[in-house]
Amino acid sequence: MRRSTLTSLLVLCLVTAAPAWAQPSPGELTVVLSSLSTEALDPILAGHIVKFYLSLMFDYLVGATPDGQLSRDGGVATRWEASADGKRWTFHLRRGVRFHTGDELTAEDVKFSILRALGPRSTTGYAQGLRQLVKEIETPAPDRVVIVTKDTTAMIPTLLSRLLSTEGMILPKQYVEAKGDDGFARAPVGSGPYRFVEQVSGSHVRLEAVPSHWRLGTPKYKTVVFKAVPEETTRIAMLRRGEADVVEISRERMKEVAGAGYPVHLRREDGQIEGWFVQPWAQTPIRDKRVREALNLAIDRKELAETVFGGQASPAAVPFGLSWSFPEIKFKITPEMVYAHDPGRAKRLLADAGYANGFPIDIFAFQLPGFPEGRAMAEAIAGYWQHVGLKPRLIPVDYPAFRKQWFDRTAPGALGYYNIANRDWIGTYALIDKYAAPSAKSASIRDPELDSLMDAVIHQADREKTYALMRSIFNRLRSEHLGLPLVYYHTPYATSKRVPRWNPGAIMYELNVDELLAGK
Amino acid sequence: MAERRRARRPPLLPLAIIVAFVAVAVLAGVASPADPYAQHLRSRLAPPIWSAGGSWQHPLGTDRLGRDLLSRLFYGARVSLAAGVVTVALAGAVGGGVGLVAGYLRGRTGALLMRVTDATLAFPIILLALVLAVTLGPSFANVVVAIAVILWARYARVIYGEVVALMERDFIAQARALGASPVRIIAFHLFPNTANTLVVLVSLQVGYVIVVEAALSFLGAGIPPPTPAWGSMIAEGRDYITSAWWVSLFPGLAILLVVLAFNLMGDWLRDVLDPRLGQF
Repeated sequence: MRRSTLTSLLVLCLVTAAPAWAQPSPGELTVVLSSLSTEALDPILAGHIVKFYLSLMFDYLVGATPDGQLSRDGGVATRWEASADGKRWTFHLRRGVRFHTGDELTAEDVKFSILRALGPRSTTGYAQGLRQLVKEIETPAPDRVVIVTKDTTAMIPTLLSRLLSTEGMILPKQYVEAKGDDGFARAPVGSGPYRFVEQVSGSHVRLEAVPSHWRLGTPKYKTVVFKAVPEETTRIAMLRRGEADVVEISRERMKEVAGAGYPVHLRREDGQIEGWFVQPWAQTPIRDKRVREALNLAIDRKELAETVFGGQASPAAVPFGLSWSFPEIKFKITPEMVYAHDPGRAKRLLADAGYANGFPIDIFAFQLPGFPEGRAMAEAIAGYWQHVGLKPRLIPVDYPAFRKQWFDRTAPGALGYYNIANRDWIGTYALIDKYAAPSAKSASIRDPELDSLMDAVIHQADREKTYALMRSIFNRLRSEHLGLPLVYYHTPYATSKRVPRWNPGAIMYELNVDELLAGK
Repeated sequence: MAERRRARRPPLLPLAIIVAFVAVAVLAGVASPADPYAQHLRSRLAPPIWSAGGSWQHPLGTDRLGRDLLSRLFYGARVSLAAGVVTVALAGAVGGGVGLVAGYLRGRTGALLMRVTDATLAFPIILLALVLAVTLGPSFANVVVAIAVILWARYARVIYGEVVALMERDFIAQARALGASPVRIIAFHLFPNTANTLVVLVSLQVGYVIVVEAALSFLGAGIPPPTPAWGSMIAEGRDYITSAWWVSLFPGLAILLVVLAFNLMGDWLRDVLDPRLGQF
């Protein structure tokens, strides 16, 4: 055979062989993110930030629709009702739901799961609030659970739903007791449409579909893999090579990816970039309301949104004012609430407060999953503050290092920030409680009037009065400048060409992967 | 003879690059077209002058915060030069001193000093710098300390070898016979005879230190932002490499040129100052 023929054959083999290794299996859906966060497999171990894969392994007591409403179709409870005094909540359970072990899910499993989520080992987002509310849990029948609360409250269904954290995920009591907490955390079992197969720390989590499930029918994909790939260029390369189906991309590179022909899906107002000042404030300039206002006025939020966030964000106005909470409580951001970019007034306020020559202020600079602009934004804020005469000091760290200093309160007055997932008003209330409750490690706000408003909400049974209190909370946060609201951001995800349509939904820390997997 | 003269002629291009590098570093405040810290977010990622959309306002373009890249390169040269000079001076003084003392004393003390030297050589600079950055926070001083704490051992090892050979020479025996003190012998007889080696080492190590400082800044363990440092400038541009290549390319090119120039100068100095080459 001639050399040219051999060469041609070799090239042909290589060309035809390439897609075979590059393409994922047709029965596999690969989701590639910048981080898998805590990589927890046990819902009570900071599971709320890894809901995106845990919610495929577990069912919730109360389900939710992709647009963020409670749903009787998506959870283990098919209906629920409160007693007249609002202190007894009865949940009626779906029959025939089975764990991956084959055992049937009963009221005892629900009781066990909630009590475990409220236990001392739990680090989930809303455990503290539930501990204050729940008095006891009764199981009058295998398909009925009654949650008795200490006070009248309307929050129980939401707190145990897919809308918020993982306290509502149902675990198999017998299995957990047999394996122990550590055994369960290594080999978790739930009742969701996918069962756990393997986890390689820092790399991926692999799940496998159960044959048929009440939530999704027979799933379209036999396996789902969640991969962590920190480098964005690598993630996009994986999409181009056909090794990924859903890829987290930055706002800046949306146009480039869409231009290459890949569908880009936005989660609108996915969250708020919120800055806060580490406690205690007593010995720092931050204790002065005028200083806090000046720090807000120095920042050009419109410019930040249009440049650092690539136009995929809009200015935020209220500290911790998550926008998905506004419609239900009828709160509106008025034009005067939006911070103007006014360096002149910022300088005057600083001078009035006795800081005409500025003061040193530490800014921790870090990136977070879903927030690749973190360091650039911190540097931009430093630039704005320098412009009004402050002496900012940037401290590049990883988020856990900042979190330690924040919780240990060893950096008083320093700026931290987070991309806080958007949520409804109950979720927002619980979030503010995390930042405002004096006993909370994460406390970053100190305001007695806010404390009394927060306390009033939890004891208020009348819905309209509760909404009015929530509006007062937002007004107080804004008028006292108790934080640094920066922008509402949209989060883009690119998908492979075999996933042309997808609604990433509006549930916090979720991607509505259910829609891509549903077979019914 | 003509060939020897040609070999002793200084390499002009590397010399020019080094002179330009030093001049830019020293005169950064005057030579920079803009304030390297002034951010203009609306002008972020502007391309260099010769690309479509480029302008004379920012001849090499801007970075992710709209800061002038040329000005940041100039100020970054200041950081690299300072890191190179301070670190090498510190490491040279300590390492040269240890090498001289160990070579003069030999015996148990000399052996002990050399074992410490060997142990130091085995320790990775990057790891030490990361530890320092985590515990004390990234800063210029920590970068200098992290590199110097390891680098001195290289000087100690080479100078020790030289001194051991010198100690067998007649002039040292004569100095001893005349009652010269150890300090005098080290300062006035051994040190001048190892100075050439030290100069060659210093010239070769400046480039190495610049690369290590850039690597540390790239990893976030070096010079903290917003101070311009070539390594951190490369890191900042990494995410834009396909859309705004200039953010990473120019600092990378600067490191390449300066390090290459220092290495070529070091090679030339070695050729010129090594007495063994002069015998041919």
